[in-house]
Amino acid sequence: MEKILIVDDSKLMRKLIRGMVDEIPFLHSCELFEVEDGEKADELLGKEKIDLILLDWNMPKINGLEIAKKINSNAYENRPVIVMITSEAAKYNIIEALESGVNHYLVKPIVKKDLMEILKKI
Amino acid sequence: MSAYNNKFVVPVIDSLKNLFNKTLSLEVNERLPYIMTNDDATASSFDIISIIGLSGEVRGSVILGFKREVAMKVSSKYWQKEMVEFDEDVFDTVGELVNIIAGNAKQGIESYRIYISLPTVFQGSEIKATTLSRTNKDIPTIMIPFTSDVGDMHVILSYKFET
Repeated sequence: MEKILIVDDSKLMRKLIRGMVDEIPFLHSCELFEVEDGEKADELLGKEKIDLILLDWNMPKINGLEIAKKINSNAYENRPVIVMITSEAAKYNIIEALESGVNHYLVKPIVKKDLMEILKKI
Repeated sequence: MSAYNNKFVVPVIDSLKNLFNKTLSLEVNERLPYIMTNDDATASSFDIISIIGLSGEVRGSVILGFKREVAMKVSSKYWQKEMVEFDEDVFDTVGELVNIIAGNAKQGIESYRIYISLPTVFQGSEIKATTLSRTNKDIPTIMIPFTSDVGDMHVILSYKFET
């Protein structure tokens, strides 16, 4: 894994996730990108071969679910693993996300241990 | 308050308490919710509020309100760093908190499909929360006061079921 993209409209949430990723030894060599909305994520995914995307759902312009669907339709050169990190906790949301191509689902507030467990499996 | 309207109150209380008590290790307790009158709305004011809209089978809004110092203490707790300025980091946090409270509360009322909007944050002084019920008397505005070690906080709910 070489390139990781963090997408969240909260600056502090991006910082929190970046901090968690930074503390995971096997990800130290990865290049980290972060953007604040789905539109910028879409642009970046078109330019960079992202291996892992940590993706919020509710965001301005293009939401995370639309990005997941686009990734799943092979719209980009690379097909990153998608970890959705969102406050949306209803089961129907989780099912919808997984059906849209999301690989792993984490409900905010997140803790490092939960993120680590997922990243270890990837 | 009718039983019908209560359906979303408990999930919101549980969601807020879960967020603060378990994740932030901040003991938060609810006081008795009540239906706000216009006088109550005028009497309660905040320095910062965040609002999230509900659509789908439940339509309305969730508002989270704080006094400035409480918002700063809660934000410091959330990010585990001292927030010394009442600035965009605190506004960001208060928006994120209402997003988590509303999003997590959906888990407690899964028989209704609810969509949540992006949060909107307002900061100022003496902000009065107004809700749907000002224009539609059929929709009650429910105030849920919470106490905590860092001060009081309030959730204001206004919603109706579309089905």
